[in-house]
Amino acid sequence: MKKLDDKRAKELLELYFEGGTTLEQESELRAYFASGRADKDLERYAPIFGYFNDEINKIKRAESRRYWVKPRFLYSVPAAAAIALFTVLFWPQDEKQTGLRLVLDGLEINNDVAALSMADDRLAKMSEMMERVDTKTEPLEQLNKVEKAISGFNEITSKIK
Amino acid sequence: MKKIALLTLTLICLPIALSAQSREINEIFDRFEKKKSVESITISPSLLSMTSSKGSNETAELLSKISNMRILNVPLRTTENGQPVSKQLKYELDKIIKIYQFQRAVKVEEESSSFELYMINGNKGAVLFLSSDNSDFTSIAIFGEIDKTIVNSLLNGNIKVKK
Repeated sequence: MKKLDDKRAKELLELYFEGGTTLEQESELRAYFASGRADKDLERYAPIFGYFNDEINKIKRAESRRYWVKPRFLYSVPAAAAIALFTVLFWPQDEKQTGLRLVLDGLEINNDVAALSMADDRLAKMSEMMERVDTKTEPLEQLNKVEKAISGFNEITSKIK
Repeated sequence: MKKIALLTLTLICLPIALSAQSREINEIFDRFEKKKSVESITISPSLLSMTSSKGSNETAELLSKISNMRILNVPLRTTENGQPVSKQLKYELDKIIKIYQFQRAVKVEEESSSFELYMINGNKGAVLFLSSDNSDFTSIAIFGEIDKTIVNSLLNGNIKVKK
């Protein structure tokens, strides 16, 4: 945008009042009056362009405020909804395995009989160990039985009293 | 509005967090099954059976809660870079147990053997059985909808392989 001198500003003002100025020329006039170095003879026209400057600034401030609020607040709810939808539709679910797999020494072995036999051995070992837990907790179970018997006896004696 | 967005995000993240321990255990098993002398078996629930007094419908319902079972057996003599592989495996599984705060159901230590049973209940739960004797270190991991009925079946030795 060109900076106006006083002579040019007068010419543009005449054109403005005839309704012949372009938007760029009107911007030049606004800048001329906003600079504070306008000709004294033209100063009486300053309020016209000052008013428009005020309105333009108000609009700019309102737009920047709208832009500032949107990313902070309004985007979070649709973003959360999009993530939720993506998760439901596309997140890989735990799929049930459909077979048997045996790996020995880092090599996959295609022998279901051997795999089942080895698995059976390991599970049987686990069961055997669990049975030993039963043996170890048997004294506790006996104590529980004794406690139940005594509490029944206590109930009877309290009723007699 | 912000509370709703936060709640939505929490509900999304919660199931992801709950299955993280299953993913990590599977990763450990995948890594160790590639090592020398290690035996690894992965069994689908369709190959499992249950010996119990329950009816076939109840048994089928119990087995349907299990999504996968993995068995890893490491001979105690197997070493890697001078370190026993069984100790490395136990160390990694103990870390997972601690991080995800597995509950210990059983721990027995005897002269020649020891075993422990850990679990996390829930729809994407896991049970870890760790045992060691004179020759091997065995870990059995069971994934699925872990609840009291599954754990009791394990403790009673009712889960077997179909023959």
